[in-house]
Amino acid sequence: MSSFVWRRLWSMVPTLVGITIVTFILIQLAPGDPVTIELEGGMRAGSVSARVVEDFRHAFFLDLPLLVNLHPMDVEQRVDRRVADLGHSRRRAEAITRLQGIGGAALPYLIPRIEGTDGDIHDGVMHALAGIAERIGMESELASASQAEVFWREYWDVYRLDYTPGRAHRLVRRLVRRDDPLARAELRRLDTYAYTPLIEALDQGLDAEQTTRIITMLRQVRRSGPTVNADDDESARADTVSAWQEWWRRERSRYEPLGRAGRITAVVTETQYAKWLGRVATLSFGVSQRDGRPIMAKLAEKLPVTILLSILSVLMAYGLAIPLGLRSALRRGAWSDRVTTLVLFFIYSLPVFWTATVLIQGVCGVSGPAIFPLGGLVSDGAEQWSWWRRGLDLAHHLVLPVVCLSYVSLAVLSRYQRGAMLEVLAQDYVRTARAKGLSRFRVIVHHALRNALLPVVTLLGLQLPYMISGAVIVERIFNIPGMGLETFEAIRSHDYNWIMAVVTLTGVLTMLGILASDIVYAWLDPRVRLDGLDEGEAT
Amino acid sequence: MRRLSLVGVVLALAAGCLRTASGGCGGPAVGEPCRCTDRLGSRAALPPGTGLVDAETAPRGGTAVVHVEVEPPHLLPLLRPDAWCERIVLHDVYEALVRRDPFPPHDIVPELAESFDVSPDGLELVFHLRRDVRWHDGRPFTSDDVMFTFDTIRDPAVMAAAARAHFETVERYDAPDPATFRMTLREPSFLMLQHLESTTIIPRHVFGHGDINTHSHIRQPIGTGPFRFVGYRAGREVVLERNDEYWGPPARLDRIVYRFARDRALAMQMLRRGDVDVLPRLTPAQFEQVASDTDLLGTHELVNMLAPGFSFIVYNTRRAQFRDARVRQALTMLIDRETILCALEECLGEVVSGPFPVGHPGNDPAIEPWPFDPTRARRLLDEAGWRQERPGDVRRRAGNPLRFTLLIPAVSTNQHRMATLIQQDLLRAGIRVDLHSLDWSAFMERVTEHDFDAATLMFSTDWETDYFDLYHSSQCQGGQNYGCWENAEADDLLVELRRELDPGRRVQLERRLHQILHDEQPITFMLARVVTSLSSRSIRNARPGIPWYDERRWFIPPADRGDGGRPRR
Repeated sequence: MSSFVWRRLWSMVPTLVGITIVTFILIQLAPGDPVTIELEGGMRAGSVSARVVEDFRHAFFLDLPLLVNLHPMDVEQRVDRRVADLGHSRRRAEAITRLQGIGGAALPYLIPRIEGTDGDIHDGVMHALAGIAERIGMESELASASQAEVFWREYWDVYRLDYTPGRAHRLVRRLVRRDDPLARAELRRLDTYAYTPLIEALDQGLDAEQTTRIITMLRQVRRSGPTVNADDDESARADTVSAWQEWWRRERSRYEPLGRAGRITAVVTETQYAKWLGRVATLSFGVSQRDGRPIMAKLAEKLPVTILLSILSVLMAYGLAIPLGLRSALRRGAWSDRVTTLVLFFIYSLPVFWTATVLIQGVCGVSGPAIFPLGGLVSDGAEQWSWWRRGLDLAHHLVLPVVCLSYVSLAVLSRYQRGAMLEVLAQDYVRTARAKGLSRFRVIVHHALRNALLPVVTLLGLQLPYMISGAVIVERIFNIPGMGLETFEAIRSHDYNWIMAVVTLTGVLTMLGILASDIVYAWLDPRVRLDGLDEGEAT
Repeated sequence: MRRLSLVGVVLALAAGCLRTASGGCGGPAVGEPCRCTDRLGSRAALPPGTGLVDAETAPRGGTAVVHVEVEPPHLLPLLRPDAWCERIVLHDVYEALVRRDPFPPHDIVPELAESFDVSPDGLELVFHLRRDVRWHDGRPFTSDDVMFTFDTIRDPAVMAAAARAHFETVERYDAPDPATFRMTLREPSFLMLQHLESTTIIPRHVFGHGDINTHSHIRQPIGTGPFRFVGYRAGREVVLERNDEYWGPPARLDRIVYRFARDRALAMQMLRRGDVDVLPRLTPAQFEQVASDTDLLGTHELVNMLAPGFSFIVYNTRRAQFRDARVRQALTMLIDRETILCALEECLGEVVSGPFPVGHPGNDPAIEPWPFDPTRARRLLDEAGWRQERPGDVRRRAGNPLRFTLLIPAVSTNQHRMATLIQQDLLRAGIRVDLHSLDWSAFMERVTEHDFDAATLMFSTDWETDYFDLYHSSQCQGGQNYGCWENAEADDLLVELRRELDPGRRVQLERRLHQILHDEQPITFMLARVVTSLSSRSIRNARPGIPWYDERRWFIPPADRGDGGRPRR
């Protein structure tokens, strides 16, 4: 048995990867993405511009290819692309702005373009360089130089060696050791080229003063970003540091070059799927694109609600269905069996949304007595009550939703149980047990029921994934903030991160559920061997 | 015999059902004209703000519960515009430099800036800020907070893309002293004040640390407004309390609770049970129910208001059938908009002839919407060369049939029913229309790529809107001019309107634009929707404005308060 279980657990991993890849591709194939979906239904006149859309997509890595990135973009590629854009009249202005935005990190690729280009592109390059000169504090020198080209050539002759990783790291180390104004001035000249060593410095444990120095330098380069203040405590500082690190994770491909090795790995790592996989490996599913909240936080909020509802409804459905089916089978053909059958068929045909609405109208104080609360999970002011009272209040709120969720399965399962029981009761071994003189109870429960439970138990295992998917209709009508409603909204607004998180969880639970079901099956029925056939065994 | 009479009974019942389903006018079958004017009495939308009473001396106290349909993702309007987020916190908890009066004449009035100057060329704006304002945590409000707000908006790493787009024409801004804020624009923009109106000013001392995109305070707003944020229970409600240290006249109510309920039917039940006092939006079906419920109307009142925005049919002017303006005019005259309004929206709305909100000075009162006149339309079509060989045939010109596909987004069944009525109307005049319903994303993809003949859409607008994106010829690519309509005079008007600040001249230009749109009919303007709200009579001044209520005016007289300060049932 144990080797069987291990084998099954190991095979879950490639299955999961396969499921996630397929889902990933499928949801991307659906037209529309989170940006356009936000304009659902009635549109706002004069809404988002192209640049805004591009920024949004970049923030969520939506501008990366799905699975394979044959042309990974690093700072060099970006500079090349923007320089090529300088030749097109409609994209010139945008290209110049973007090049200036790349700042000092672009200089190693931009300055060599001064020679060898002419006309519009040359003008554009000089324009962009002028903007960068302002960023690094060299605008007056540039203005007083006779020719801009000469200025840049001389600048590059003198300072080229500064734009190397070794030198940049050394400067940052100096800044960490003490407040060195010379180091600061040189780092300012490096401008965005210094991002990499600065952020890496933050990753090492620094004390308050050092962190403040590094972050101040970062803010100077970026002209914005989270600050540290003198009166900040440990956690506020940690928040700011992780904010900077998160920012760098998103933006580093804009400022860093990829080495040769980097370019090869980037073929798979600079893809949407890889970014998602990286997040999942650290058990952070990222941030919901619909409302910007971390997925884990939302799951922690909604999953317990849905699981509670599901467990209660499964308990109710199975708890009532098995005895009902059993009773029907034992009294087959009698009045009670016929009436039960009729009532169950009738209940089965009532649609859930209708039942829910009628119940609300009838017993929630709208047109009838207020026996139950009107939706939600907790009453007003429940925070102050004792645990005991809160538990009762929760149960009070859950009665109607659980009833609505379970009555259909109740009808179906009891019929299943009845059928299985009838089949078992006709078997020879039951008659033998009765003939042996065993009590009626022991015959029915110990011998017959144990076999009749097999099909029902298999079904129970398959219920596990449905536990987390929730029920949209019931959740909406009873105003319960659970997984069903959230997933429904996520699908409508193409919240990829949430959908992938739910798919992964459901995949894991489905496999666990089937595995559990198989194990219980083997326990209930010793004829089933899970480790493969023994020699000499037939069938 | 028995069997036949059974069939007869069933048929009679079926016929009866069909009759009652034929439309809100409750009489003739589909196909006969239905006029809403005689029934408009009870459904007439009053101008916003009708029935407001003075609240300055009203007694304080009381709690009101307002229904919110969609839980907002967060409570910071700067990140990601969200209608419900703005309704809850804008001008209640957070404030902006200026504010637009929700009630006519919808002027821009000072808020955090006690006065402001605009230079004659419209490029320099100077705001003189109030000096006695404090944040809800007691710290003083200064121009440094305004600087921080704009720095945050400009930062590309902050997900405030929409707000950033609004301020793209700002060249620079600074704060020479703690009570002054200056802004220089690259070109004059008439919408700048409106953009400032929806830009909440945020405190530097709260949002200065950490990443604002995931900051804990985006769900715990600290503002300067007449209401203070007290609590947010996820999935359930947001609670605000009156700010007694407000710099202006304080609000009257003690508390306002915004309760979430996704399902509108449930919200109505909550109102009946007393869990909710104000329902800001009712569906037309709910309006019918409530309008005949005299018990409910004894304790609650229905208020109708025309919301800015309109539904329309856009024609792709690159298709051969729609190039001629006469054809588009004829189509407009063949669509019985009054009947559609009656049958689908229970007469809650108005047929419009232009994009400006009803009551806006840009609406030329002399322009009436094209009437429902099939005879005149047929003549126009004949003139344009689309002729019928025999009555009942599809019209043809040079052998090509006058036929097109109407795209409908699948989000609303109402649009589908409207499209079916249009199809029938047009068929009678010899125009063949095929209907095609698409999922929203697929629909938008086809519309933005101009891969359509005609499509039904709806825009919601603000009181002042820049119509450049909608009607300028350059907006065919990447803008919202989905039909690719081109008109040189309209183009010039739209460009000028963006820069023109003088109100008198603006009215002239807007009315001229209205006239051109009316004559050219690049789109068939359909309806402006009415927003119906239901609120407890015990809450005075709960009148919807554009875009939302003015909660600071609400009050509950002591005699009408029940337990917990809630309105008495």
